[in-house]
Amino acid sequence: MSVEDGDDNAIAVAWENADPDALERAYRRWGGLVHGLALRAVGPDDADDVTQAVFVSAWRGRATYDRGSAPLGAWLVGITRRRIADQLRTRQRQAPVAQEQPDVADRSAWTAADSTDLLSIYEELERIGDPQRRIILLAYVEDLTQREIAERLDLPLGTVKTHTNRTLARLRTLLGGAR
Amino acid sequence: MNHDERYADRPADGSAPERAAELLARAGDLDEAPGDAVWQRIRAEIEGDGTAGEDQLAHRRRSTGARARHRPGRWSLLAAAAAGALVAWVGTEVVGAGPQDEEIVVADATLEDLPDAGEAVDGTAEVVSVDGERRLRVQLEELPDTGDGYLEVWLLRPDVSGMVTVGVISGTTAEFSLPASVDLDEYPVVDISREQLDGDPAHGGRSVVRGELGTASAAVDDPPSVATPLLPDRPTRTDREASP
Repeated sequence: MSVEDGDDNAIAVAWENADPDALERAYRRWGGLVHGLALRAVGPDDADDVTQAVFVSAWRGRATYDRGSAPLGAWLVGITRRRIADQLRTRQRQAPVAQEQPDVADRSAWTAADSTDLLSIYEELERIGDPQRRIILLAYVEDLTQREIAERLDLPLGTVKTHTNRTLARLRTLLGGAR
Repeated sequence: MNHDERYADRPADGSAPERAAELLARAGDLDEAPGDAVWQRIRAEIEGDGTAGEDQLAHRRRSTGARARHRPGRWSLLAAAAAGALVAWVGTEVVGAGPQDEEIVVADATLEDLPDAGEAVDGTAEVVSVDGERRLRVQLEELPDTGDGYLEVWLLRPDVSGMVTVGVISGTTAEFSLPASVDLDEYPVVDISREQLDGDPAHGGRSVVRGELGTASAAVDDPPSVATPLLPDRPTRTDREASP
């Protein structure tokens, strides 16, 4: 288990105990992820609002968090998904047809299906944890080779390959892909 | 969304990149922390909940007799409203208990007003054992403003992850019988909340006073003593009947 995993778990324990610092620690750890996911899904104008809503509702509902059923990061991504859905519903109500065009053009790369899948992927990665999560992120976000990842994480190359393949297979299943 | 739609943008030549890998690459590094203003807004919104919660309790416990770590206004929040509430009507107000038998005070608590409650009402609570039955007695210095609603007495877990309703207090003092099944080690916090007549049995999230039961000195030091009343003018029966 990596140090990072241990930290994540420590934050989750603090969260469950409602330690006064737990919210800030969780925000420091996952605020960037939540905000980044929100940026892709709702764009820059609303991403801050979504991030705020996620952490406020997570903290208020923290009694419903069960460390046994999900890591805190995965739980927060799940809440992010719901707050994003809320935001999109609000937008739909407020902005009828005319507003659609520039909005879509702005974020042409990100369809609703894309951002939904992206949320699923990150939720699953938070669930799986390290080192699998870091391996996948280093491979596909930072575009490192498997050998570079092995060196960076000080893991055997075979382990990196196995983790990569298994995690990709899991994500493929998650997204409903048959291939 | 259907499968075809989801994969419409993928090449059909079999060399299609993994959808997951492709999305991860396209999204890039997500770790883009929002500006500091967002964190300030989160804190402000949580403080705006208007009721204090376990953080202040913990704070008070820590600061008892020790150097207080004052962070005014921070983290004053209450999870009670959002908590997975265990709600069961466990208490029945003891009415006309008759002549008092031998009482042992098994636990007591100082109730302090919560800073955000808009009230400066303190009080005390004690659990007495009478003939093997436990009773929770609550006394407030004065009656908090209940608005259109009423005041309800609860026992909470210290982290507010669970709560048990004990009963309604309509005057400045009340006494409730506690079933043997209520574990005071698990639910040591006495909380009095303002409730609305809205039919919702859950905690309304507006706590007025709160305090944590501790083992009463009488029970520890001089067993099995007859408790000296900790409260001046403690009523022998609830004032619910007596008060207007």
